[in-house]
Amino acid sequence: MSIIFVLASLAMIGIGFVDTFMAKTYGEVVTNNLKLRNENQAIVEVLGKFRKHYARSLAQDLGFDLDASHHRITFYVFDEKNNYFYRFHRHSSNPNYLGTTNNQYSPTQGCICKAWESGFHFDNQFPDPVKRYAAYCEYTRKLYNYTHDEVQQLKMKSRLYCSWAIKDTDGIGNVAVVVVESTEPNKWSEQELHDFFVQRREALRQYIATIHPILPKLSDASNLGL
Amino acid sequence: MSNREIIQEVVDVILENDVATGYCHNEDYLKVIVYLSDWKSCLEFQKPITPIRWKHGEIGPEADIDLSNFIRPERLSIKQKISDLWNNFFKLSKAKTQRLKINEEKIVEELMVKLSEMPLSEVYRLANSTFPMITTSTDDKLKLREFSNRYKHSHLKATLSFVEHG
Repeated sequence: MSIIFVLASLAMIGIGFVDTFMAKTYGEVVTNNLKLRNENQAIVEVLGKFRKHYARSLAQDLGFDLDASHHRITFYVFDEKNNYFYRFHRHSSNPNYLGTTNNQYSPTQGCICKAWESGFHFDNQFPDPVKRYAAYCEYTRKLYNYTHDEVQQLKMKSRLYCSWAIKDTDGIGNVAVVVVESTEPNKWSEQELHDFFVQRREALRQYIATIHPILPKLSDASNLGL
Repeated sequence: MSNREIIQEVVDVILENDVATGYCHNEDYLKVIVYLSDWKSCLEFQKPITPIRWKHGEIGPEADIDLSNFIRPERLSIKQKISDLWNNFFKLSKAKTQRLKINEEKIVEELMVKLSEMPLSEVYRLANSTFPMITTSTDDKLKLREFSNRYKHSHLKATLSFVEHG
């Protein structure tokens, strides 16, 4: 009788153990899931803070708020392995200027390439694309290596372009480019924008150094065959 | 197999191969792995495994279907309990149903091995680093088959440019 009692007790303990074990395992999954969601949320917040607020604060410093719908600021990062620039954040109060047909930019075209080569580039000599569209296309082709079809696809046909190359934390190599543009050719002078970027040189470098490790990079996917 | 059955099979294979962590019971994680499987399949075989329509979401790829409905533990059985001093976990086994094609199943299995050590944030970053995600903006549709053709073309162009300049 006592043996049956002991066996029954052991069986119950055994069932209890399995239940506890299962519950613990399920509990671990739930905890992991919660941890993952929090981790994910933290990354989203970091990205949000840096990408949106920082670009917006630069835009405010440049006085975008006064006539916001004519201007845009964009950050591009260079993917060395694939030899292309990728846009990673863009700010404009005009929603028509936020999207593009492409998010991949050649290192041999446009004002991104000019800053990449010389550190700083400014041009407000673009013809009026509304009144002199052919001249605008020709100017962009000649100086910036864009075909007429590519110019046609540009959602924002700016008349002022200013680009600044952002260096790595050692201050040696370029890692990214920031471009300010406007449909108003006289919105800012070359000196104004040059001073603006010189004053923020270190902050821009820190910004990129912080955000660069968590930015998606095509080479990370291609290294894994994806 | 119907569209739902294909998705169910893929989810089952993912859960079956999620040996240690149980992360795939997290819908966010599952979604990213299904996306990566579809993308990998397009790169290798010019077609995605599932019929899911993907789009560029706020923080990663978004499916047009709620994948949490496909997490069905009752379809999986405990095949083997694996224990060591600090960890106990189960190896799950999916029911013997209509299987995916061998090469499709292999894609998912190999992906699970590659991603097994990565935290969710890294897996998201990886998904966002794929060609369709990195070349589009929020809310854009991701037609993976078309993107895989474009990717191969642009990759070839970049390689040629590198050889030319290098």
